[in-house]
Amino acid sequence: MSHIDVKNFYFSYAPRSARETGIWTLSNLNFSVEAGGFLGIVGESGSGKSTLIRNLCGLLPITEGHVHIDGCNLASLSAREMIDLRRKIQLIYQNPRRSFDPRMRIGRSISQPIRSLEKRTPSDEELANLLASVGLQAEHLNRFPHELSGGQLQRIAIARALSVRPGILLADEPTSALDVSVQAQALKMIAELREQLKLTVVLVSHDLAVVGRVTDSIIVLKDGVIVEAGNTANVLLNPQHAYTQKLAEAAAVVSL
Amino acid sequence: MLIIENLHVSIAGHTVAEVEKLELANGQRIGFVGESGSGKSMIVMSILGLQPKSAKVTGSIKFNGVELIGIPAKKLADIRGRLIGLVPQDPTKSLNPTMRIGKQIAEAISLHSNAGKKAILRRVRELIDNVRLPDPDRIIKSYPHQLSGGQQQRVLIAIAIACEPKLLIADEPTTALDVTVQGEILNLLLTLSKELDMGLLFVSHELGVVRFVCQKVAVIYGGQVAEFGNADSIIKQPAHRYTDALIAANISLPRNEIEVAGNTNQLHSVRGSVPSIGEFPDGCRFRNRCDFAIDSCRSFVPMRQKDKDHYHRCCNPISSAEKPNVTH
Repeated sequence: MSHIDVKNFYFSYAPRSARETGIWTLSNLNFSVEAGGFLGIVGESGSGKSTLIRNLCGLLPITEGHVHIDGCNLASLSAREMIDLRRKIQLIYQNPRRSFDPRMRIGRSISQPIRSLEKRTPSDEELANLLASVGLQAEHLNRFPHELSGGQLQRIAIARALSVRPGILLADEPTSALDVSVQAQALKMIAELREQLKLTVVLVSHDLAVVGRVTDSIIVLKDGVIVEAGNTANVLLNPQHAYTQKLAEAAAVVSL
Repeated sequence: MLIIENLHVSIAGHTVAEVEKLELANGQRIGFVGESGSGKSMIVMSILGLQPKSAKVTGSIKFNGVELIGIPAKKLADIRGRLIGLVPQDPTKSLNPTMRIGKQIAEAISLHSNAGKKAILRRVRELIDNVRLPDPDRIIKSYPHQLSGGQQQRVLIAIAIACEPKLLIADEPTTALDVTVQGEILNLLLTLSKELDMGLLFVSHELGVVRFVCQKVAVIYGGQVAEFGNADSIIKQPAHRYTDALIAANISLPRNEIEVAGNTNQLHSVRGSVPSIGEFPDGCRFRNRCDFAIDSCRSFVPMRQKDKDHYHRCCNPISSAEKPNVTH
């Protein structure tokens, strides 16, 4: 059984008019990710990448079709089951500066998922271990977000997402707000933690180079439709669709 | 055209930028590269007098023979926008959301000329055409939110070149944009620079972006020029360890099976993070993050010449026998 299974999936922010006009935000998506798989979703702004990520974790509803996570149909989950699902799927966002409460110390920020999903207060030692897993020290627990760099904050966001031991990690453009000097570090960290923890990861990016370096399969999304999908090496080294070729050219321009 | 000499910018007694000498000839394109906090924007903004109010600027910045440091505000305002244009970083935050595009472009023209209404409208259309935006009638009537990020950046470029400046300063003009749109905007800047014989001062944290657009590159760290030279020579034969680390950190498009997927050994980052203002070490600014630091890095490091037109300030530079840290 696949860890994530998407079948004949349609989504629209205005479902009624979409059914009349046939214009969907996401249209007839079919793909699956095996347990421990690493899927990349590429496409430009407006292609529907972030919408899809929100569908996968239940932040947006399913309009038509099926999304199964761990065998559960997302559309038929009760509110309580949804909370359980949140523990299994965690998200990291594009801009780490905007994903931390500026008034909370890091320690308090990263204890939130455990507090709300496991209904307990984690010990300082547990929190320090979490930070250690992303190469940071216990002293960072007492810092405020503005005292840390973007790269450090993104690593903390990864630690926070992993604090409730999810099986699936969704990463929405985790490197694009970071300085070039630390993008590779964040990407490497996600790849290594995935190996260690046997995570299933979905990585969204507009940059084919980023996705190409770590994932094992890719779907290319354009205007809400999958235009190309397959094994990363095939898609990258031998792109078939004109749009994928355009993405590859754009990434090659700034490659060294 | 632009000559910077002994520029020194300080905030609350801490040096944030110091440039001994830097020259930009007519129509030349130069890129400033460095991480956030390296001081690259501080140097560029002090050319336009847009540095923070608390910053103290000394030294000399000469533009076409006119000294810009200490110049009366009125005279500087006449140069800004007319002789020196600026393309800002985030297009979505740089246009007035309540004003139509046509009016915003027209404003840039009428500020520096007394052309009539008709002439201005003609010029607005011409500019929209210059930046390769389709359907000028629609664009003129649009509000910023009706355009995409890439289109908004084109509008800002139109505003910046409205008076045909001799120098265009672009401060991370593509950082907020998608990779696909980025390529288009870079191409546009390159073409315009050639068409209008306009100098370009391009600030970016990505060496790949700068190489695409510029002939010369200045790598900035700790407010200093760490390495300076022709773009190709800097990227193919870097001397400074910081430049090399930046090159290695570039996530380039995989070109073969080995580089595809899962091979995280090929992902490098620059160790540590940029210190805050006033916390850079003495001597070589980079030495506390450098794996090749030696004793002499502790004292002042002067600019040395590597080749013709290639300078650096590294005590333990990459020798020609050593392979740079990159997979070219």
